[in-house]
Amino acid sequence: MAEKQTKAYSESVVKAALIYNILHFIEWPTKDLEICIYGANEQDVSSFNLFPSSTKAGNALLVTFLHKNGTLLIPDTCQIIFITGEAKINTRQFLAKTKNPQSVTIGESRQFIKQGGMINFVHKGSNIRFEINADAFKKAGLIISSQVLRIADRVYMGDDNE
Amino acid sequence: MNKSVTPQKATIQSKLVLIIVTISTLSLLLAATLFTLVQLQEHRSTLIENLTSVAKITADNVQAAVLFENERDANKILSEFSSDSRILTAAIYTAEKQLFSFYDISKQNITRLYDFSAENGTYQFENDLFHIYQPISIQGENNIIGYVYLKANLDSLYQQLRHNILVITLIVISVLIITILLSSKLQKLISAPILELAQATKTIRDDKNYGLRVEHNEYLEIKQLSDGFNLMLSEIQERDNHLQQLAMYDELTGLHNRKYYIDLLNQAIARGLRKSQSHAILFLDLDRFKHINDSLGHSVGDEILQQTSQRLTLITRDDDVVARFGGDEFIFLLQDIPSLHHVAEMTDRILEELRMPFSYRHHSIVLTPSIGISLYPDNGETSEDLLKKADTAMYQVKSMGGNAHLFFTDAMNVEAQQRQNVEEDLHSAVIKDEFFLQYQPKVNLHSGEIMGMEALIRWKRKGKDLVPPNEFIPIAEETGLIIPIGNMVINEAILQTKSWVDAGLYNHRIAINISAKQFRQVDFLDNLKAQIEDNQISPEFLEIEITEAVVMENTDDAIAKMKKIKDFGIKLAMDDFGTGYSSLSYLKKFPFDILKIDMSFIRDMQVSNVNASIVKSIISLAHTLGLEVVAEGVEQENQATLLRDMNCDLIQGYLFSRPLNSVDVSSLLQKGSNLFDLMDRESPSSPTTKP
Repeated sequence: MAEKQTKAYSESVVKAALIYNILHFIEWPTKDLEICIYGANEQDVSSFNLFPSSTKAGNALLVTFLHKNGTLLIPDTCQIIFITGEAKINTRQFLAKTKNPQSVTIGESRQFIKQGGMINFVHKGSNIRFEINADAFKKAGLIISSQVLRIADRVYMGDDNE
Repeated sequence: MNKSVTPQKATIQSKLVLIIVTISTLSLLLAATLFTLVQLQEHRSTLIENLTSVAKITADNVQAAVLFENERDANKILSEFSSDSRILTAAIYTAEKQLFSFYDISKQNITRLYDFSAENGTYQFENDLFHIYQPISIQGENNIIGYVYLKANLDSLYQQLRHNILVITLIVISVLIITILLSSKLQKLISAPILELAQATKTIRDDKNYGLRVEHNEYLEIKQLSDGFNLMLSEIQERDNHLQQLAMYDELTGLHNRKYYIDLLNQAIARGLRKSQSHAILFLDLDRFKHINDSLGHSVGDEILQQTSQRLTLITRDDDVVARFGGDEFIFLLQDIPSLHHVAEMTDRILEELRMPFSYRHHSIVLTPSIGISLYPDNGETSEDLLKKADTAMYQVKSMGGNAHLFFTDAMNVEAQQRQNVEEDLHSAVIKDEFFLQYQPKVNLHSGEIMGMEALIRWKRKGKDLVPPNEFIPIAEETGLIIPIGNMVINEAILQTKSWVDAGLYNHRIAINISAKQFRQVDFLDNLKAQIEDNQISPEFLEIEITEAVVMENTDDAIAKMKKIKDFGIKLAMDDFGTGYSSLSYLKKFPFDILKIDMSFIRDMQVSNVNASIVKSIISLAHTLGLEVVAEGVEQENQATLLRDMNCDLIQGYLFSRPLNSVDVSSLLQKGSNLFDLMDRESPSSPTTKP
């Protein structure tokens, strides 16, 4: 049943829904949240524009698209940074520029976790699953629910980063 | 044996055990029931709490699985319930109320779905099933992302309950067993002393031994009970002894009584029959005892009876029995006598022992016994017969003057029979009026004229001669016939006197003898007054003669009665003075008018001067006391002369006239006889005059 539904939606909508669901399993230091998307295509924009303006707990949820040709300035307010597959950037350098140490980084490249990313979307057959870098969460001082860890396709801990 | 011992009545013991066990059982059951109910309630709420929290945890755990639609994860979480036997079914629904994942213990399909009409977070009981409906929410109660449904089995609850009931039942049973064992020991604390009392009662009832006592001091109440019981026993014992004493012994003397004696005699007769033994029955009566009793009072009489008993007991040997038969009669039983000589020895010893004077205060009293003896088997073979014959022999001794013993002879039976006949004839004599009066004049020693008369009773016994008064008066006294006879005498004497007075022949008193029994009648004086008034005669014509024996008993009453008689106008004479214990000094106490000196003094006057001087002093003292003196039984002229010299007032006797019938008295009165005429004419030829 769930499989049929995912088929009906585009890939970017599924990713948006996953991000929306995941953010509820993270303990945030602030109430209001801002999601910053880097390298969004048209589909992504339309998908994230469907994003609810508030969390399920009723806190404000702001979606910001970052220009890929821009100065790579990443605002301090971004708590969730989604780097799409189309960004074609050096992840490590990109992450080094993020100013908020307690932001959650989400990516969709094979090397994203190794390069210090926190959540990475992967394709498993026709489904989109995600990997979690628990070590990175730990370093950021953020707590993610174990339920998400259980659902994750793969959880990287400490040595896995090497 | 006593049949009232009913078949196995409930004992105090079993009742006490029953009470203790019942109370224990009831309280245990009540406690167990309450405990079980409380436990059931506790287990139930614990189970509810437990399952509710399981549902909540499950709901939390499956948030991500539901949200990320991860069925595999949800199934994995639910499969954890396989280790919890309580959970029968678990199911997860999406927010759209679609079944998302489920677990069933028996791998069956879900039969009951989530009841979405039920309030969220509630539960339902259905028989032994328990349904929990728990919504899955995230970031606040309102964000329901799915539902968890749990179906639990309440078996564990009931199993727990069953287990508890089993344990409690075991506890109750073991406590009851302990209670029964303990109570049968404990109840003894209470029942033992009571049972002891009951046992004592039974022992006493069976053995009739009232000497038994119960000792119990442990508890106050039991002590009171046993003390009361003992006290009761003491009283019963005392009463028993007393009754036995009364039944076997004479109260006054402490000797055996008549009943006991007769029992012993019957036993002796039975034994005698078997072993050819001979026994002797001695019937002893104290001579003149009645006189002592009458003249000195009953207390003296009782004292003498006691002293006699002591003396008789002293000389009685072990095998022999002495008993008080009644009154002044004692009776011996000499068992298995070897010879008549042995009996004679015994009677001699009795006579010897009683010869010594009895002393009572200032009195020294001599009493002699009359002893009649009958022998078994010679004189009879029944106690009744033997006693009667000993009695007859005793009477024979009495009639011969007493102070002796006689063996029963058949001849005595004849005399006894005669006496019996007299008694029978006396009864019919009263009815047939066979009595009549004779009158003996009394004459004045100075004028020689008739100054009075004494009425004397006579009995003309049918087909026989006149019976002398001394032969029937005692029997009349004994039988009580003296009362009708005495009334007849009074009536007859009054009637006769009145006729002489009315005829102008006589103007003096008529003296009537009154016996002791008659005088003591409560209505004696009223009776006398009635007769006097009925016959319209003045009481001054009457004189009553009584012997000292009449007034010696109940002296105060007697004096009071005498005074009333005197106040009524009747004179009182003391009859036969000198035969009893007559002392001149006590004459002063009694209001007599006349003193009649007994004929024995008159007869002996001429024998010695001493006797004459006694008569003289009696006359002079009587005069000092203001009494008129009459000498009885004057038969000779010289007696009359002597008495006249002694200043005696009147004489009565054969010298002037024998007792005469009324007709002869009438003619004597008409003639106007005078003593001196008679003396002048008859004295020379008097046959009794001494040469």
